[in-house]
Amino acid sequence: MCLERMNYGYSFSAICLYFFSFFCVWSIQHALQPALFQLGKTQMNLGFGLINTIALLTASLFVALGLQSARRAQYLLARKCYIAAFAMGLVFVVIKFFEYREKVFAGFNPLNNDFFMYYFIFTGIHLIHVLVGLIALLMMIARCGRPQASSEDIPFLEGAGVYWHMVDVLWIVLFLLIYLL
Amino acid sequence: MTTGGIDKQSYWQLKAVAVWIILLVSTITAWHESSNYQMIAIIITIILALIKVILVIYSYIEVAGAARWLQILCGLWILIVFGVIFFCYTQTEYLLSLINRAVSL
Repeated sequence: MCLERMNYGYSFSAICLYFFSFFCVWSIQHALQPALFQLGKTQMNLGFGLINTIALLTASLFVALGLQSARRAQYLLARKCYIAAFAMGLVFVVIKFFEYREKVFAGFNPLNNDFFMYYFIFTGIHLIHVLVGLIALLMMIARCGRPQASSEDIPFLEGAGVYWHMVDVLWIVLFLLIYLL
Repeated sequence: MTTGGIDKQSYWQLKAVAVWIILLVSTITAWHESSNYQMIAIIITIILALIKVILVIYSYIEVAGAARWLQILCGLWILIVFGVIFFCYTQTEYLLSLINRAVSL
């Protein structure tokens, strides 16, 4: 995807750095308060986490296929791939909404303890990135749907695609820390 | 353009789908291991997540075909992130002693 050709480098690096700090904070807090974090993990709905992970991985597959189609000037096929990726992204948002709803109704909120504070902050910030990714996907769908779609659109599709994959990578690590370990 | 009967686009699509299948299998295996609190299960779960991150970054983001400096930079990020996670979850007592030493300074 020739990242070096794009101007997105600085913002992507910043996202990677601050999520790295989230991962450090979570891991160290887990070591400092193992009982609290193990108890918190038992309150997590692993099914929601699993479906969300599969949805984002599937969205990434469609984004990758969409870019390959666009590079071969098959813009309508690329558009279909991006629509499928958008649908998968929406699944993630809807599941997240039900997950938060379940937590709030069960009496858990960011003020309960450190586990839920970090859980809501980190997954909330990640959710904002997913929403930005969905807006980017809408723009990709619109660009591929234009009659004058051309190779000049490829750098934008590449940049937005990298962003989406990064959101996926960050979720893989969050899923590991919050739901699995 | 064909390579051994398969054109380049079909080859790339097959590769993307193969990567996706590995990602799904890793996710489900890790999910299955999550109820096991033994150290070996923790290590396996971390390694499966590491494989997933490497696959997405080097295959879907196409870092494998990017400039050398970018490959090294991404590799370093992965190494540091998973190094920290691995250390914190497998060397907890050593980490706590380091924190206590730092606090007492």
